[in-house]
Amino acid sequence: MFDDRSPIYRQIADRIEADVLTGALRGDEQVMSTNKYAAFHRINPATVAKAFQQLVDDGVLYKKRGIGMFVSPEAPETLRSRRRKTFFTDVVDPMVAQALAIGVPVADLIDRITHQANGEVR
Amino acid sequence: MTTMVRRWPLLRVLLSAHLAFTAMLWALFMVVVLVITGILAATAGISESIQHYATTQAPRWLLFGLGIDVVSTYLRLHLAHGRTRRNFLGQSIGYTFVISGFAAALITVGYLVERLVYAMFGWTQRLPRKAMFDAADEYPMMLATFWLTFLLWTVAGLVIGLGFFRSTGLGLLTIPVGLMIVLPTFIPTRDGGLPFVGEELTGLDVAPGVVLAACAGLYLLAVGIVWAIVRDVPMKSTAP
Amino acid sequence: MTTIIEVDRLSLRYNEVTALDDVSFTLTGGKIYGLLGRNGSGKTSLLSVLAGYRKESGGTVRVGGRPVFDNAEVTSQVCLVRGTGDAASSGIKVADVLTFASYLRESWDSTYAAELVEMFSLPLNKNVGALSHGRRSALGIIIGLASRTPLTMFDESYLGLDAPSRYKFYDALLAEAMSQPRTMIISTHLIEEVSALFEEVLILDEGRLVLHDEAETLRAAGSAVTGDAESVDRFVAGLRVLGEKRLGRTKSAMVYGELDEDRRAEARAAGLDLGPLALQDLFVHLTEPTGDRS
Repeated sequence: MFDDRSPIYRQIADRIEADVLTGALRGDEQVMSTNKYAAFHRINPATVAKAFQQLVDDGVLYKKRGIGMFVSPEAPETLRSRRRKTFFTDVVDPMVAQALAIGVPVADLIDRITHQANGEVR
Repeated sequence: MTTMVRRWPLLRVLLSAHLAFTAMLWALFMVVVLVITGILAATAGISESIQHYATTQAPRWLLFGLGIDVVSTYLRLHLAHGRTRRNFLGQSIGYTFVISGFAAALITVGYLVERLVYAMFGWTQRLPRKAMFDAADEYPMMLATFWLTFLLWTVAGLVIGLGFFRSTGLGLLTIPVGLMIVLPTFIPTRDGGLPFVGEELTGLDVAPGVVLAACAGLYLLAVGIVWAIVRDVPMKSTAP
Repeated sequence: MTTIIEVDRLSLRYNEVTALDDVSFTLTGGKIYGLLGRNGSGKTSLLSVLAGYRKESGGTVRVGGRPVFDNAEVTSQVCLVRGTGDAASSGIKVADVLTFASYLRESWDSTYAAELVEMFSLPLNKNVGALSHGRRSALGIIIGLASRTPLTMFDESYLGLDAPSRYKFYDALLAEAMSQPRTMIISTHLIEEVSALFEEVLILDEGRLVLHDEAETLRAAGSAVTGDAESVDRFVAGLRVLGEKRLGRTKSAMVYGELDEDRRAEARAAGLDLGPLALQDLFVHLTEPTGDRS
């Protein structure tokens, strides 16, 4: 589930953020404790703690003393707006570059996007 | 008892492993001797202590073997559980006294048993060979003789065991040393048992005090050698 | 109680071999450490010195500020499990091994040991010598875990176990790490399965300490740069190259050191592909003699 090719704490954080974005984790929902998460995935608890701390710093999680870690109620919106900021540079621009590189006409691209958004797919 | 565990844990381990075993072997020894006695009684007749032939030859090898076992089985255990080599020295010294005393006591009881059995049949329990004790009922002297003998044989086992633990080369060197350590024990038991070596000594008529001094001196020498070998002995890996 | 381990210029020589050469590091303790190295790299030697099984030939080794060799204050707090275990001699029964452990090891936890014996299904009445390799490894692990020593080291002791038993070991290890402040050092040459357990990693090669860093840092530390051979060479000039692979005009170079955004942009511009480097690969290339180290 988590591999050795990049920092595991980052992979954990990404996974939790992904769950928040898809709605698998909702605002104010409790997240598995550090120790449970570590035991479940067989990861060093310090690594898990690092991931959770990162998420707390980013405003995705918050800690209720004596109880555990919870998803911030604003987390879904926070993450979405963060993704929105980088969407064009991270997703659209490379897509356009690739389309041009392989010779896809821009008109076709725009057409497809419009139809996708309207729920029709050819 | 808990203080003993804390302060003498290795001793406790060794005794729990070896005491019962020694007692069992002695019981077996007694059975064999009594059976042989029975056979001889039916054939040639009994006029002397039969077990005396054996007690002065066989049991000391058990003590030697136990001394070796202390090293080959238990030194590793001792170090693996975070105890020191220094601690090992102290506890194995204590062990040599306890085990040899225990074995000596058993042997002495054996003579008592033989005496009782002979009394039933009206046989004389005469000693076929004079040892440092002249008669089969000189129990204090008997106990002392066997205790001293077994003490040296046990510590010889320790020395040789440690030699081989350190290296085969050193082990081979310790064999003559071990032999030297047990040399004086041939005098009190008046018995060779080893080729070339014993004959000259068994004839010697030495005062008990001199024998005791010689034994004490060699025991101390043995302890010195044990310390010299064990004080920085590395514990090498066993399997690959 | 955490134990600080301070090793300074440690060397170990025996049988005309230099097993450890000028090794220095400090471990603050209370973590799970990975000790990586190929066979013969000195892992067992290092752990043996830390446990007081061998005396150092040069340099100093201190645990909790105190010298180790034949020092009861230190060694009573240290437990090393090598291979199939030194605390389990072939001539004794499994039950006796545990009894003797309870006599000799003051911190021994008999209840925990009994639970572990159940978990690994060890036959109590069998002689250690009659156990299979896997079961002897399990016994070694039980001794290491149940000793409850502040510093506990496992020298590839799980290698004889089958997969389900190995996972039981990792679970037990983690459970211990989370419930008590123990310093655990796991040595291995099989990294993939265990590396997620490590917080810090040390890599030994031919008796020398090659690397010592946080595991997470190492996971970000390597990159594989792939592309046209000339472009790759230009890009990696000045970087620490661990190894290379070549297929025709394509070359893949393994580089050590984090590449910042500028560097990454440079790679993209040169048409080079940057891929992550697993800890396993990092290890292989840090301990492999390469023809082209810059």
